[in-house]
Amino acid sequence: MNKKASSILMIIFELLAVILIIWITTEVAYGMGKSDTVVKVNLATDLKMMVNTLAGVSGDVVIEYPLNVVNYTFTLSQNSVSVFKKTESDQQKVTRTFILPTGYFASGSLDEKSRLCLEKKDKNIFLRECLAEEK
Amino acid sequence: MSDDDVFEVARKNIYWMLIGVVITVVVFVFALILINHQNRLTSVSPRLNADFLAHRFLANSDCFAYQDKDTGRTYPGIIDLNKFTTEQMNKCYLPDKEKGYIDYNFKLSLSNEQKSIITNNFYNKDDFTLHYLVLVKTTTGLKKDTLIITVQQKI
Repeated sequence: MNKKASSILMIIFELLAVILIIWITTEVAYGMGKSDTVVKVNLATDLKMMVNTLAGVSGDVVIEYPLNVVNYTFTLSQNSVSVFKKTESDQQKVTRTFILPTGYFASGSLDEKSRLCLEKKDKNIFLRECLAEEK
Repeated sequence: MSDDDVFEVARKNIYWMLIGVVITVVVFVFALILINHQNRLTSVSPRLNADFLAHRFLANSDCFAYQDKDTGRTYPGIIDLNKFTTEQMNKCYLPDKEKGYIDYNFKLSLSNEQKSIITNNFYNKDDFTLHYLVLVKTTTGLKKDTLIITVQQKI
C-alpha cells in the first residue's frame, strides 16, 4: 500500500467515525428530549402520593388528576401503580410502590381516557375514569 | 512502503486509540448529564413524600387517630393513646420484612407522654424530623402534645 492510498483510507475512516459519533449523540439527546419517560415517572409518582394521601383520609373521597392523561394507560394494584403506553414494552412501564394499612384494597385501571379519578370508598381505593357529573 | 510511511500509519493508529478513549469518556459524561437532568425533572422532596405518608398517622382511625365509638366520627389530629402501640403501627404501615429498608421508615414519639414506637425496618438512621402539634386522648381527657416523626429514608 502506498502512502497516498493509506492516508486517503485514514481520512475516510476519520470522517466516518466523526459522523457516527455526532449521529449517535444527536439521536440519544433527541430520544431523551422527546421521550415520555419523564411524564410517566411524574404521573406514577403523583398517583403514588395521591394514594398515600387517600390512605390518610378518614371519609370517602373522589379526586381528579388535574391533567389530561389520554396518551397513557394506568393500572392500580394492591401495592403499586403503573403507567405505560399501549405500544411500549414491559421494560418501559413505570411503576411506583406504596404501602396501604391492613384491610385496605386498591384496584382499577384506565385505558387512554382523558380524565383520571381516584376514589376512596370505605377502605377501598379505585382508579377509574371520572364520571361526567364529577366536575 | 518506506520507514516514514510505516511510522505515519503507526502514529495515526496510536492517535485513534487515544481519541477512542477520549470519545468513550465524552459519551459517558454526556449520558450521565442526561440522566442527571432527567432525575432533576422527576425528583420530589423527601419531606413532602414523608409528609403525605405521615398524614395517615394523624388522621386515619385505622392508625392512631381517635374515633368516637358511638358516632363513628374520626377526629384528625387527636391521637388515641390506647392505639399508640407497635401492633397498631404494624396494621397502619408495614414495610416488607426483608426489603422494607428501601422504603420510608418512621419513629413516632409523643414528647410529653415520652412514648415511642417504630416501624419494622427502622434502624435509627435519622434523615430528618417532622413535628406536628396534636391532642392526645387519654383515659382522663385530652392533653396537648407534639408528635415527633423521625424519618429514615432508604438505607
